[in-house]
This record gives sequence, structure tokens and C-alpha cells, in this order.
Amino acid sequence: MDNALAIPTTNVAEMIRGQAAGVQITLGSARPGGASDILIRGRNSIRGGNAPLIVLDGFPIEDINDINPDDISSIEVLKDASSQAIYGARASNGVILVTTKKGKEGKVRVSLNSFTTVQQLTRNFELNSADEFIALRREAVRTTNPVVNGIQAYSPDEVNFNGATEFPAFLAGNFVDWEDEVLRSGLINSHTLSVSGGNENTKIFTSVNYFDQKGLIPTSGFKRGSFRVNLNQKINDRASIEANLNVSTAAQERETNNLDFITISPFTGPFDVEGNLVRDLAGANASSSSINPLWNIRESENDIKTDLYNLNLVANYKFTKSFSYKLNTLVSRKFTDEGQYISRIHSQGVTPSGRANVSNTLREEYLIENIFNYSPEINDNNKLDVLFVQSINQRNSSRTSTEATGFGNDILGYDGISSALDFITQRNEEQYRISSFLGRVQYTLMDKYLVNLTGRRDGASVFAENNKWGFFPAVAVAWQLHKETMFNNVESLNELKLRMSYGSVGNQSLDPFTTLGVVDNFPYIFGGAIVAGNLPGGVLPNPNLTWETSTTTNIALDYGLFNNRLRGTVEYYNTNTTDLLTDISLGGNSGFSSTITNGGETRNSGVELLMTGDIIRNNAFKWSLTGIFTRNRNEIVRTGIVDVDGLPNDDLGRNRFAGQPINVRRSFIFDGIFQTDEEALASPQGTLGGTVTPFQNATTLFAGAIKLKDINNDGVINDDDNVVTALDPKWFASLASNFQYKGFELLADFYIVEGAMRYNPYLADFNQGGTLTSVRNGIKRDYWTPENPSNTAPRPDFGGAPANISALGLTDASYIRLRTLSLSYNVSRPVLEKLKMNAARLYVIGSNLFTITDYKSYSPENNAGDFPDTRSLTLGLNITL
Amino acid sequence: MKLKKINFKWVLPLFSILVVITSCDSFLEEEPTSQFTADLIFNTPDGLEAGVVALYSFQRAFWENSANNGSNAIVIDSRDDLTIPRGGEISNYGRMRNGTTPENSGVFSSYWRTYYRIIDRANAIIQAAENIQGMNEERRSQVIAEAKFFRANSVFTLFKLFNNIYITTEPTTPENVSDIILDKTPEADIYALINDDLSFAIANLEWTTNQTGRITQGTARHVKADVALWQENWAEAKLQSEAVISSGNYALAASPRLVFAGEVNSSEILWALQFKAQINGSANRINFNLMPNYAELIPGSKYSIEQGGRGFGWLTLNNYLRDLLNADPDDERIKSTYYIQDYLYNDAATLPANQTLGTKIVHPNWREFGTTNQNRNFWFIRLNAGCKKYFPDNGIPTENNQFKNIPMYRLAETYLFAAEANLMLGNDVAAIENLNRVRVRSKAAPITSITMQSIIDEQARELAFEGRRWYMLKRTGNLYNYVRDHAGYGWAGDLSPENSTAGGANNTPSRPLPYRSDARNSIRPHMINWPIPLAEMNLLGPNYPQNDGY
Repeated sequence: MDNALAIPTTNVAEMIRGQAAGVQITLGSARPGGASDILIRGRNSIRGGNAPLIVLDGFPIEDINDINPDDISSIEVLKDASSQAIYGARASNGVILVTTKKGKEGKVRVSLNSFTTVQQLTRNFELNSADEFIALRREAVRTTNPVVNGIQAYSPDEVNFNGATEFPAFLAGNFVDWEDEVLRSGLINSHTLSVSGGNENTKIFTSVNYFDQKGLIPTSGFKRGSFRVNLNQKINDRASIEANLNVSTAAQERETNNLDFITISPFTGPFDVEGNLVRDLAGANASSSSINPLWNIRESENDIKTDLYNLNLVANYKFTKSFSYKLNTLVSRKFTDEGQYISRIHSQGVTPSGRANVSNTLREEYLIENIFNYSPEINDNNKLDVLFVQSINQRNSSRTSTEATGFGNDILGYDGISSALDFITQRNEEQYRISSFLGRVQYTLMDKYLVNLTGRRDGASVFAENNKWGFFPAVAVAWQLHKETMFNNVESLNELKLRMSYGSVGNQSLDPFTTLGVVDNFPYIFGGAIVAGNLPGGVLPNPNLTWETSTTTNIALDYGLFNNRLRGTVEYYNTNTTDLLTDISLGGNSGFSSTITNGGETRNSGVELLMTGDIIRNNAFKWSLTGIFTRNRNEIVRTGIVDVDGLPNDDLGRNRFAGQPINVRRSFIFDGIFQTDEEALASPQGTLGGTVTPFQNATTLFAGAIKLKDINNDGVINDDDNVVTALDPKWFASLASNFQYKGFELLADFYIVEGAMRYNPYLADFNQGGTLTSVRNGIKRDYWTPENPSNTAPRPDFGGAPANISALGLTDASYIRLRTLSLSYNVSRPVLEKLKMNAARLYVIGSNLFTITDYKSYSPENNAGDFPDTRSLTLGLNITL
Repeated sequence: MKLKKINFKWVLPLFSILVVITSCDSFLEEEPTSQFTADLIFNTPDGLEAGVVALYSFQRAFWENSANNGSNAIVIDSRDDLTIPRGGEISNYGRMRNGTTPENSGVFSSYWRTYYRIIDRANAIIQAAENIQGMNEERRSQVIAEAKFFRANSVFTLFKLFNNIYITTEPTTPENVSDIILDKTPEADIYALINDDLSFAIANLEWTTNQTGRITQGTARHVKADVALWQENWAEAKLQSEAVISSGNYALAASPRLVFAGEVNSSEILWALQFKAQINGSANRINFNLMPNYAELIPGSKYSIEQGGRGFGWLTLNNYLRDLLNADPDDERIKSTYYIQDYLYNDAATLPANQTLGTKIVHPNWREFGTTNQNRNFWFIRLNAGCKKYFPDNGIPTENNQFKNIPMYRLAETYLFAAEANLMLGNDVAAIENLNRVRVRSKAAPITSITMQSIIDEQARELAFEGRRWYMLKRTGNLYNYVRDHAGYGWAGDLSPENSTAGGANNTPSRPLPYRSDARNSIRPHMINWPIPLAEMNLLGPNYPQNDGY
């Protein structure tokens, strides 16, 4: 993954996007210090996360974003059961191996990498302009007027634009662009200084990084300082030790929540006539609860400080030339200190008279691995490698949080919590323990045939008393076809390798204590005093839970042709996850909402293609193209619910359907707009006479109302006309072009997502202006009016959301995006010598420069109301002395 | 080879120690450190008592649900004959656009699930308490009595709402959870369980408690009187209601102003759900749903504690209820006690020159019989009569969310039960006496003769918006007719569309134009039973009986 590091962010997952087949990255949060979701070969697990295991220099870490991107030397993704086997009990969702830079023998090198990034908002829709909003409001209010002699008149504008603030602003033509009022440009600065070097016995790499980002929304930001030392010390010919230490401290500032600012009525502004911020945009006594976002931003603080210590110690010892021992130990501690305060005049702070939340979380991890390796030299044609690993892993977390209300003043914010009146404190402790044994035998015959057998036995504390242990075997074979005599004469064939593997890994997507039947706290008040109350909550405990098992068949072909000018991999896989830990809906009559069983099953199968072609390859001029294609098909085989005959049944309450993917939406399908009242009333949504209760009330069936598709053509719209739509992409791909001429390098990286569907609140939800009530502004749409018989959006109604508006929300979210366009210049050798430098590189990177999509939002992976995704421009300098 | 020896010394022992540690099963054993286990709750006396406390919390959670602008708990009020479902989420149920088929009745699930959850946990507590060894008998019977009360009250509520219910006294366990429910429980069995449980509760609960908020013998007797009315067992209804009235432990508050004052724990309250602002329990939006927005765009008016704080007027009093309350001009209940119909100028800072503080706001345009739909609509939003029973007298009047204890049962209703039982038994004098107790404390003139209509009307005046009306109409067989005649706004029996004059309305007090009265047309006789929501039907057996008509 050479291109991986070209993105200015602390979100390491975004660096992997499009760089490896089978790896799907989805934007989680675009906020400074935010993260993205990584999904390898589809969703296997239903209840647990599907996040892969991140292994840094051989040790698991919790969060890939804890790594300073400048320290990374390589990233590798493990996807099949055989290669995952060694990482074991937490590897069933795939493994991402991250290796940091190490010191090398030779001269001491000092390297500096600095960049500055400017971020701007990107979006692909237009909100209604002033005139369009006025027209929408007039139409929406008109809809509420009576029809007199066949004519529905418009209301006067003093009725259309009501409220203490709206009408004067309308008269004065004061149209507010809320995006301009609230957002600013984002800015990132990052500087990394590293020193590395070493001799025969000692090698060292050390780096320090400072990263500072200001987000698009005022008060949001992220700062981090990190420090790393990688040390390798040889003791003698038999023994050596390694130590990796990573220390970092970070501070994230978050803006206040619920900022649906862009759709606020444009005839209300954030300031009063004196230029002071107002709180209630529609006036002090207005029924509308539109709160000025700038007010709430000013009246809140939310800081998250994180300290991380991650220490690996490794000892190697060779008993003989072929028998060695390695001890791996990990100690990691992450301490998070979070403080939130909303002032006594914040819209949510009045009733509690100021509210502070402070919490401390300590997360600790320990790992000890004993690794024995035996690899006797038999002869050139026969190689054997035997490995035995025994390990224990423990993760603890403890969290204490206090919420306090009743502040006398706002001066100290959350740090003034001790002077509050009322306190609620909570304490949570969790522990995960895993014990594992692994054996592996690798045998290579004539460098052509390779067989790899692994077996591991894992025990996990989260499972039931007698179900803690599982056994997971795997076998892999590889055949270097190009070494066969029949291909000896094929000049153009440089590599042809067939790989096949079959095996299983376990997954333990359970929270601690789940099988024990712990109860929740339901305290209550008697006589004004608090009394403890405890009962089981909504989940019925199941004391028999055990491992879920993912079994993968993997077939791959690696190829290299024409002097390796064309090289790549074709890969097919099929993963069956059985004994799937599934939460299933329970009937309300049970008194529980769900329970967890091992009764589910899922299947993922797919094809992955990787191809790199060196189109031009000479000394001065190089041009290569890399294409990566991934297609995954995900299917629930069993939801865990069975019918009276024991056959698999859908879990409607959880939107899970046998034969459909995990990530779906079930909804009615939009089928246009009714053009006449008669058409609406006579439609399958209307009354049919007799005793059949109509799908919707007659008063909601009129010209301009939403028509739903009668899927089964039975003349009635009812629950059976819902359609299950898969949301995950049918395929995704990336295409990178790398162009090098002398010291210049031009990289363009396109990312393509096809067949993805998504629910867009901008088209269907009130707060995002999707309901066309015109209470809020929204995306410009071609809505129905008596004069404009549109068939795409319903008639606006000031009185409320059109019936069935949510059917309009589900839209195609496929896209093509130019994720990266970067140009860099490597200073030439003669100049470097004059400057007494080893290397110098100047670069400019444009990120998310353009996106082609039908999905109207800030980004096709951004949810409405989320922190907006950005387009950015980076200028950077990298010098090595 | 000195080094080699040293290394062997630490490598091998370490390795063997680790293998021993990890192969030891105790390494994987779980011990929750910050939570209790169910075992502790169901197998110790302290645990069982904590379990009973949680039942109260479950009941309260029903009112804390913030979904649909916090309106789920008052959906039952939107379905009766006394309210105008003007807007907001609640109007979808009030106008019967929702809640008419299994498909469109999602909110009913919150009723279904709340009460079934209480039943199941009560089952578990009762079973465990009956079997636990070494528990003090007094504590044991207290635990069982409270749990049985909760079970009876929940079964009764579910039966009244959903009719076709399945009831078991076995707690749900991992072993029986996959049993598929095939049929409803017969009505006789349901009543038998309710009555047994209530009899046990009455026999084992004290009349008084030093822990305000706990149910008492009086609470159980009140519910048993209600059950008896449903079973038309008038003698039992009389016995239980008069036992509460004459127990000496309860008395009507002196004025309707005091019933919902302060902590709502007056001598009239038989059981109230308890909250402690910012400490325990969540604020609710009931008041926001019920109170009109009398200060919006009206200079000289501001939200005040006296006038019931701020709301959005989503579910307000209809003309039928207002007329009932105004039938006696001395009746205090609509004079800013339970309800408010006259809003007064109260803000000197914004008072227009031609107005006086303390006088009634009469808007030039926004009037009940205004000339345009908009002007009438604004009157309904801002100046129609509202219910202020849920506004706390220490609340901040400008806020949407409020903390207040919520009465579940109160003595005024017990008097009405007694009146009805006496009437049915032919004891008109006693019935009149019972009914007049409720009227007189509100300064309404005592009645001198009594019919069932007197009781139905008095119940509307006294208990509207307390979740009681719908049940009474259903029980007395009046639900369909009353909703058809009075739901929403308009003159009795006018079934024409909103603002239409087709039914003879002429925008006068005697013939008001219909407004938000859709339910009159949507109600069908079978809708006296709520449909079992589709999501719940899907999880019941394939032939589980939905209520007739759906």
C-alpha cells in the first residue's frame, strides 16, 4: 500500500480506503479526530462489531487511529482463515497488520515531514434560494386553505410568514445563509521529526509528531502529540531484545450536539438588531423550538483528553540453529478524561440549571505470548517449520462518570462540578480474558508446493461456564506453477501461484457477564429519597452461549507477466459463519425485547481483483495504473428465529430476513404522485368499501399525495407491499494512476462505489427540510402544485409531513470520487548534495476534489446532521538529513 | 556458555508457570464487579425487595418515554371524546390516522410491552419469593403483595386495551422463551387471576406506608372496585370503594387547586409515580402536548406558572368538555385549576397601551369563531382551553420538559366508582352523596337526582386527561357513540369534514365548524379493542387471534 499515506488526517482507516481488495471503508465521523469503519469481506457478525483486529508490530491495539501515520512503514491485510489463524481469537473479522519504521544499520538519519491542509465544505445540492423558499412557503400555506368554488387561494404574506422574526426579515429581504453563518474553513498542521540509525548490535528509530486540526464547525478541533521509540538490541549470537514504546496525548474538542443548522428558516438570523446572538430564532415565546446553533455552540464545551501508553517487549533466544523461542509481552494503558458542560442558558441547560458530565475511563490490555519455533534444515527440496504458541490476553476497562446539575454560575464550566447541587455517579467495570494454544506445521517441497496446517484452541471468559473453549483448524496449500517445467519456456510468465485455503476462526462478539444474567439498575423514589431497584432489563440472558465460527474457503491466483509489467491477484472466497451470536426479537408478551442465541448463520462470498500495469517503464518516465475491484455478496442464512415447525423465520423487528443481506432497509416503494383526488381515493391506498380498513385515512388522499407501489398487485397497500432493499454496495473499486517523470510524481486515485443505497433525511425528515412543510428550508425539489403536476415530490403542506414521505428517502448512494490528486517533486541528487541533504520532497495533495453521485448530501457517506465531510488542499515538505 | 544457562533459567520456569496459569480454568471465570447478578436479586430477601422497587421504575418508564414528543402515555386520552388532537405526533392517533389497523399501530406496542414486562418480572418475583428459604414472613408477604398488585393492575390494563391477551404466571426463562404462543387466555381466567392477586394484595398490604409512593391496601381496593365494575359486580364495587372512602386514610383535597399541587402526594392520592428532578426519573413533555401557546405573538402575555407554562396545544379540551365544565358557572375546575380557558395579560414589559394586566386576552383576529380558517387555527393553537394538571408549580414556565409526580389513582375516582355501584344497586341517595362529594369541593352545585349520564359527565369533568375516560366509555358501552358524536371539535354528531358547513355548521357557538374531528368518521364499532400491533402479531403464533374486525 504505497499510496496509502498520502492523506492528511489522523484517520488511518481512510488511508487504507481503496488500497486493498476486500476492504471496505465507510466514513464514520468526519469530525477532527473522528474515525471510519473498516469492513473486511463483508459482515459476518450480526451483533458484534465487524471491525478487524489491528496488529501493530505484532501486537493487537484497540484503535488504528492511535498510530501516528508518519510512523507507518507498511500496512498488510489478512483475509483468509489460514493467515488469520496465528492472530487467533479476535481475528475473525480480518486482520490489519501495521508495521512501523525501524532503525537501520548505517548513518544516523534525521527526517522532517510537515504539512498544512485547508479544508472546505463540499456538497452536491442546492438549498432553496430566497425566492424558492418564499414560493415553497406560499404553496405550503396555500395547501391548508379551503377550496372555495374550486379555487384554493394563497394567503397574504403576513400569514405566510408568521412569527415575530420571520415576517420583518421577509419584508426587509434579510435572507440568511446558515452555512456561511455557522461554518468556517478547517485547518490542519502536522509536523513529524524522526531520528533513526544503528549499528550491528543496536538499531533505533524514534519520532515525535505534533498534529493540530481545527474543524469546520467552530469549537471543534483535535490536537495530538505522540512519541515513539523502536529499539532492537542484540545481546549475543543467541539472544536479542526488542522494545517498542508509543506514548501519545490527544485532546479533542467537540461542538454541541443536534446541529441541524443548514435547514433553519432563512428568514431568521442568528443576531438581533444590536448584533447580539439570540437564543430562540423564532422569537422568545414562539412555539417553534428553533434554537440558534451559534448560541448553543457558544454555551457548551466538550473536551476529550486521551493519554496512551503502549509498550511491547520482545525477547528472542535461539537454543540451536533450528530451535528458537520468543517471548512477546504487551502492556497498554489508555486513559480518557472527558468533560462536558452546557451552561444555564444553553437550550438544554435551563431546566437542570447547567449540566456537567465528567468521566474517567481507564482501558488496560496485557498480552503474553510464548512462541516456540522449530525449523530444521532437511535439504534444499524439503523445508519444515513447526510453531507452537501459547498466549493469554486480558483487557480491562473501568469507567466512572458523574453527571451534575444545579450550577450557581457558569464560570468554571465542568471543572466547577464540585459546586453543583445534584449528582448522579455511575461506575462500570468490564473484563475480557482469552487463553489460547496454537500449533502450526509448514512444509515446503522443492520450493513449489507448500502445505500449512494450523490448529488452535481458544478459551474466552465471556462464554458460558461449560462453553468457553473452541477448536479452530485451518489448512492452506500453495503451488508455484511458474516453477513447473511445462512453463519453463514461457518467457512472458514471471509468476503464477495458486493458493487455496480452508479453515475456521472463532468470534466472541459478546459483552462480559452476558451469560451470567446480570441485572440493571432501576432506582426509584419513595418519600423523596432514592431507593435501589434491580431487575433484568430488556435482554433475556442466555446461559449457554458459545463461540461463533467463521469458516472460509479461499482460492487465489497471483500472477506476473511480461517482466512483471502486468501483475496482480484474482481471489475468490466464501465464508460461512455458523453458531452466529444473534440477538433475536422476543414477543412483548415475554416481558423481554430480545435474547441472544447461537442460532444465526450468515454467508459472505466474493471476488477480488487486483491488477497493476506498468504502461511506461523507463529511466526517466514511468506510468503505472492499478485497479482494485471488490464484490461481496452478503446473506443471512438464518436469523435465529424459527416458526412453529422449526423452520427459519424472518426477524421483522430487527429488519433481518433470511436470504437477504444484513444491512437492509424495509420500506414501501415510491411510485409517483397522485394527480387527482379521485385517483388517490380509488388507489390501493384508499378505501375499497366493505369492511376492509383502508391503508390510510381518506383525508390524506388527494392530488399531490404520495403514491406507493402495489408490489403484489392485489389492489391493496398493506404491510406485504414493503420491499427489502440491500444497502451495502454491490461492488466497489479504485483506480490509481501513478505518473513519474524525473523528480516529479503525479498520483490520481479514483474511488468507485456502485449499487449502494441509503436513506437520505434531506429528502424525507422534518428537521432536514425533507418533509416540504417549509417550516424549515431544504433541498430544492420539483414538488407538486395544482399548476405544476410534478410526479417526483408531493404537495407541500405547512400543516404537516405528507403521508408516506419516508418512501422518498431511500435513494441510490453510488458514487465516483477523485479521492486524491497529488503532485510531488523530489529534489535531484546534485541539488541535494549542495544542500547537504539526503532527500527532499515537496508535495501538494488535493483530497475529495470531485464526486459524481445522485445522493444529495455533503458526501455520499455522510449522514444529514453529521459533521460535514470536506474537500481539502495540502501543502507539504519532507526532508531527510 | 554462561549466558545460555542464565537464559534457560528464566525462560523455562516462566513458560511453565504461564502454561499452568492459563490452563487453569479459573482464569476464564467471570465475576461481575460493578453489577448485581439475577441470582442475587431473586434469591435473597434484599434482592427481592430491590426487584419490587424496579417494578415501580418500569411503570414510571412508561411516562418517561420521549418518543413522539413524549406523547405515547397520553395517546389513550387522544382517543376519547373530550379532546382536540390539533397537531404533533399525538394527532395522528387522535385523528385516527394511526391506531386503526395492526400495521399503523406501532405506538400501541409501548402499552403492550410496558405491561407485559411488569407482568413477567412480577411473575419472577412472586415465584422466587414463594420459594425462598429463611425470609421473614412479613417481608415475604409484603414483596408478594406488591408484586401481585402490579401483576393484577398490568393484566387488567392489557385486557381493557387489547382484549385478546395471553397471560401466564410463569416467568420467562431461556428454556421456555421459544415456546410459541398459540391462543389467548379466556376472559374468566384473566378475571380470576386479577381478583386473586388483588385479594392477596388487600389482605397483606397496610393502609398506610411511611414510604410515600408505595402502593397500599387502598390502592389495591380501588383497583378491585374498578375490576368489579367491569364485571358488573356492583356489590363488590360498592364494598371496595366504600372501604377506601371510609378507611379514614384518605380525603378529597379541599379544592381542585390542591389536587395537583406540590408533590402530588396529598390525602386524595391513592398512588402517584414519584420523580425527583435531576436525580431520578426523566422529565416529560406531557404538559407541552396539552397546554396551548398563549404567549406566542401576543404582546402583554408571557408563560407563567399560574397559567400552566409553555405548550404547543397539540391535545386540548374540545367544546364538549368545555361545555360540561361550564355547565355550572361556579365550577372551579376550568378556572385555572385542572384546566384553564381564560388567559390573562401578565407581562407588564410588553403590555400594549390599550390593555390592562390581569384582564382576559381577547385577540382581535384569533378567535374561536373567527372569520378565516387561519384565525380559528391560531385560536386553537394559542387560546383554546388547556389542561394544566401536569404542570409543576415549581417548573420553569418557558421550558418544554417538566418534572412532576404523576397520579395513577385518586380518591375522586373512588367516589365516582361508589356512586356508580350505588346507583346500580338502587341506592340513589348514596350515589348522589358520593357524586356530590366530588362536585362540591369544586364549588359546583350539588345534584339532586342521578342517572348514569350524571356519572359519565362528572367523570369527564373530573378526570379528563388522566387516562381514565377511554376505559370508562368502553366499559359502559358508550365508546363508539361518544367518539362518533364528540371527538375533536364541532357540534355533537356533525360528521362533515373539517371547516365544512355541509352538516349544518355555521360558525356560531351553537353550530361550530368541525375541526380535527376526523375520528368521528374513522371509528368503527370494533375499535373498542385496540388492534394488537403487527410487530407483536408477527412474534405470536401463526393463528393467534387478532381482535375481531381488524
